[in-house]
Amino acid sequence: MNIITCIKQVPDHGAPQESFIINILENKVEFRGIQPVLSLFDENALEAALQIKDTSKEQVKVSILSVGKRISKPVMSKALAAGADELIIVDDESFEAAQMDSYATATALAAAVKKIENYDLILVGRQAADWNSGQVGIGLAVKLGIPVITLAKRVSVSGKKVIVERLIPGGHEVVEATLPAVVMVSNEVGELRYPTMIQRKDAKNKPVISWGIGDIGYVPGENHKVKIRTLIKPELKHRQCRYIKGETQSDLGKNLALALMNDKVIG
Amino acid sequence: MKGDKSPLVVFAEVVDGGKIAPCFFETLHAVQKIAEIYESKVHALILGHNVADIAEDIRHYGIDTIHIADDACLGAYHPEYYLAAFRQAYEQIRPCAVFMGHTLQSIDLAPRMAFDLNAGLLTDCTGIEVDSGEVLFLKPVFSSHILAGYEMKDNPFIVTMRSKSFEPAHRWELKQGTLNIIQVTLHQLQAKVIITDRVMRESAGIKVDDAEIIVAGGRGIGSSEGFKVLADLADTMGAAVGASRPPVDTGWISAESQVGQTGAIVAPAVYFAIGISGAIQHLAGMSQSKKIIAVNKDAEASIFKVADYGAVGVYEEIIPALTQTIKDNLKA
Ligand SMILES: Cc1cc2nc3c(=O)[nH]c(=O)nc-3n(C[C@H](O)[C@H](O)[C@H](O)COP(=O)(O)OP(=O)(O)OC[C@H]3O[C@@H](n4cnc5c(N)ncnc54)[C@H](O)[C@@H]3O)c2cc1C
Ligand SMILES: Nc1ncnc2c1ncn2[C@@H]1O[C@H](COP(=O)(O)O)[C@@H](O)[C@H]1O
Repeated sequence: MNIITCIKQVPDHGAPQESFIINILENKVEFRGIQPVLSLFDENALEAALQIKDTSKEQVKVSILSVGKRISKPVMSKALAAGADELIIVDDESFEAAQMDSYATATALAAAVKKIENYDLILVGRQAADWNSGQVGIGLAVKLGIPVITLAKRVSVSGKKVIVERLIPGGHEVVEATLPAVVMVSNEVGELRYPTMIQRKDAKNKPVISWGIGDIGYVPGENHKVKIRTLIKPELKHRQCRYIKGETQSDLGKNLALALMNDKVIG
Repeated sequence: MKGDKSPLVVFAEVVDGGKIAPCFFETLHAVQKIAEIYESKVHALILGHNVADIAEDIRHYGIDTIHIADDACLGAYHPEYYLAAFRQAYEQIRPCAVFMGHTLQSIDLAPRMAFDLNAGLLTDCTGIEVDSGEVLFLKPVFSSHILAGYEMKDNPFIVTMRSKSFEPAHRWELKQGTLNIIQVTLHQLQAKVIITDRVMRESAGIKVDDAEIIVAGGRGIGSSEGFKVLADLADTMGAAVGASRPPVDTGWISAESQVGQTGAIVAPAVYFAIGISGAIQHLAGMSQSKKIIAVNKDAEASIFKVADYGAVGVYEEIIPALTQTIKDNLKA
């Protein structure tokens, strides 16, 4: 069985606000001194793929697919170290973040998937940590003409079917579809496993395939559905924190309770 | 969108088998403001089964026309039936834009609608702004460090709106607006995805959405046993237990408890953040709380910057003493 996990490289989502710079002239966001990372939900998608690989009796190959501009191989090698078998990168200058809306990304990914040809399951993240759009997985499925299941908290494969526990308000539903299919993964699947030293070393020998847009037959277009008109840095409202004092830690707890009751915050 | 006289449609999501999702009224309010600017009509669309009463009730909100597609296939959410019903309704209404609350349902449905109509979609919008007569939709991007103002270039387009970003629409004594029944044909649809089971969690305690007080724990709680210490505190105050993302990832607590950008957006009277560092994606879901109390062993943790009260130390000692003092006081 072949599983493709789509992973986007994004500027570190834990970086402080100073690292994000607004270029007013070109109306775009630039980054200062931040490392690229794997988008967080995409790590969950990879974890879901590896969980299937762990438990499947069949041979399972997990390929990582990433499209973008100047994709960093060291950053992507984290995915190989965690247990993916190969990395497929489609790198092109035209994949400038500002030029890539969900339509363009879904189109490029679909073109790459068609070139990969042999696939059973495609896993994507719930949303990319940069623009948080949450559309590419569904767009990809529509372009490939295959079913898509969203908000997966657990993914398994049985024969020619994918079975998904899907989040709904107050619980989950069990949903199935015939492969090939796209599944969009949420964080409840679990955090991406931590690679061992040996796995990290081995990652260096795993195959990395680099394609350009010509290889997948993708033509960059100017067909944008949404346009950014303004960019601002919102200020986070800080509050004046009253620090509770106490001799011991349990005094802290007691004094906190007394302060809250005295100020009628509780009770 | 300017100059287009076709209506703005607000999608009325049905939840819990017979109520309108609370965020519908907030989205409606935002859309009423947009309608004023463009002099457009506001319509609502309900997809569901046995929804006549709900439709009647939302006539109190000053909506021009309420469209209802009522069909046995729409009793519970199924992506393909809902998409087909939406498309059929769309062809009759021909709206210039569709607005939805940003919910678990619209996370699934809105992109399907957008790709089906080949329409632009902006998800999780938190505000609107007028710029030279044109409405811009505001959305936090890059870990909420940047707020982008989007123009939707072509009609139709779709926008989903984050809950608690707008005040709910006004409820009028008087009912108005017409009800329009839309006939949909769905029974012959061959669904590609099949729902085989629904598993509702036994509701242990109060939900974060409804709570006046929330006791939330983060990665610092360390285990599901640790969450029992928080549940104890929550019980003494009639509070709900919430969480940041890592405890949900690791399964210490269920998904409904997650607060933040991709979890529940809450604004209770009191929010305890315990063993939570205060990442911006968490703050996005709770910074509107009236009083915030932080307990963290790291005095430098960002959570203290947004807290009203802070205690620096380990929760294992602080929380039991806090709980005991409140209990003693209740007895006295
Ligand atoms: C697109 C996207 C969406 C996201 N959505 C959400 C979301 O909806 N909700 C959310 O919460 N996060 C979300 N995140 C994740 C977010 O970025 C943070 O990773 C997460 O909030 C961190 O959780 P935490 O504070 O519990 O853990 P950490 O940042 O690891 O903090 C743990 C804290 O516990 C303290 N601590 C440790 N031990 C103790 C002890 N014994 N007593 C007291 N304190 C202790 C530590 O000092 C530390 O401050 C999202 C991220 C992305 C990229
Ligand atoms: N450039 C990309 N390369 C690979 N996968 C991507 C890319 N952009 C988006 N994705 C996938 O699509 C998911 C949703 O992204 P988005 O719709 O942009 O929020 C991500 O979590 C990824 O799994």
